[in-house]
Amino acid sequence: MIRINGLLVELDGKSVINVDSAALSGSTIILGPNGAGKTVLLKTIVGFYKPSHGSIFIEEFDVNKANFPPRLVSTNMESAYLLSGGIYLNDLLDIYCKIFSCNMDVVRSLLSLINPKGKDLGHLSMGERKWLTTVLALNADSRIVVLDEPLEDLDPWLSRKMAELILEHSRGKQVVMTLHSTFFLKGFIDWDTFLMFEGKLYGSLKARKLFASYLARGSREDALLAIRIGGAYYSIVEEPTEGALPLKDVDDLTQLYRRMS
Amino acid sequence: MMVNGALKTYFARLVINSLKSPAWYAGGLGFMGGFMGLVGAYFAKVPFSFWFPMVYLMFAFSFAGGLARSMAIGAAAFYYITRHGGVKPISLVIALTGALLTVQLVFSPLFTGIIAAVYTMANKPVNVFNPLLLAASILLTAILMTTLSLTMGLLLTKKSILQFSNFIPMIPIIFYFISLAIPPSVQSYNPFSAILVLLSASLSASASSTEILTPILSVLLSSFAFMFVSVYLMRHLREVNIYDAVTSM
Repeated sequence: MIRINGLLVELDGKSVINVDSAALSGSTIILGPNGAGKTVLLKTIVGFYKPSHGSIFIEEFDVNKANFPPRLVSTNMESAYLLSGGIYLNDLLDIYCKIFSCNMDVVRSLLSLINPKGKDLGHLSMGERKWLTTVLALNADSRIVVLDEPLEDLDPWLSRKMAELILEHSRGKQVVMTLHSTFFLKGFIDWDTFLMFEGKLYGSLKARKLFASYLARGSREDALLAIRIGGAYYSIVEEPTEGALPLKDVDDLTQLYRRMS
Repeated sequence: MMVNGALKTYFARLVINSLKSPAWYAGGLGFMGGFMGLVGAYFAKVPFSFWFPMVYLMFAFSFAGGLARSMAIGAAAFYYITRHGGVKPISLVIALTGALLTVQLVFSPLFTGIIAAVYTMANKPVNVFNPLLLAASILLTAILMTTLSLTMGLLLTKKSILQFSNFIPMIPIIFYFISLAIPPSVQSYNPFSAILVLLSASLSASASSTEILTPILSVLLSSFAFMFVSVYLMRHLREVNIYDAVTSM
């Protein structure tokens, strides 16, 4: 369980995240276009960024307090794995598997699917890095896994394989992940889904419901969610109406956001 | 136990990678040792006792600068393994300090040997009046530079200073020149000039034991202070995405 209260995150003096309250109780998808603040929110949850105001509690622990327990959270954020000194991949696996008590054989067998050519993390392709860091995060002995765009930069087969892995791990852990595209929602139909635009979270809805919904202009009484983008109101509605856009057809939220804002 | 094993692996890999790094051989030994040795012996024609301490200090500062940048880049990973992995900040600081100290203690004698060899080739005297003090000075320099660079690297992660990532290696030497502005009456407590005093004292016959005690204490106390600050900073790390800035340049 992750609880967010009155969260304000500012970077370079600009407000990037502004969330009144949200509770991420189960495995959750945060869906939004580029620049919506998804990664910053995840980094704040992991504790990389300190909020200007508000708090984030993971289970009963405040992320920014000293008594936060180890191995409660793991993440696939690349910078969490960039140890100084150009550490070779085998050593990197050894170090992180020892620290986070993951099964080295399982991790190695999953890495064999991409057969990385580079000697260290800096020499891997974007997709290889994403695969490696996500595999390490999922296999860590943690209760909550925070994944930033785990399905990005992977080829279609690896994306499907990764989606299977995430689903498998979500049975024993809470997984929170960000996505750009509604395309992958159908693989996670029972997950809670939040939409994120301009630093604000909207939700949650089950992915199944969101996938079957429509985006309509204006503020509607029957709206499942009311969203404000660029000063204008939009509604997520269940029934199709004239001009409403089926969300299952919106593969790229960034393009949609540009049209709306 | 597993966490200690991870730190041992990290320690070993840091040492091995640094010992295999071409930058150390080309920049540290080749340029700073070989070329600067040639400049001192053949062109500037200055005595070994004057040239060596100065060039060695530059060698140590270049190491500290590169290290500070490297620490800043690794800050997010340090945060992750200490905050979420259960690695104790003090254990990580000790592992990093130990590894980087080891590397300096391997390269420093090589560097010293190269400069001495160049001076010998040029038929210039290479007099070391107190080899023990020279060794101690090199050890103290390594301790000071390692702890300083660790502190600086971690300190720089506290603020978003992406634009300055390539400027970081110059900061130790800037520190040094700023420290020279300290009034002469308290200059003997400046750890940076203390290194020069100790190195020069080891190469000349004039230094007494009382003259070297203050510089030694100054370097040791500064190093301990830097180490404590490093542990504190390691507990309060934040990410600045400095790696992204570095790779995009």
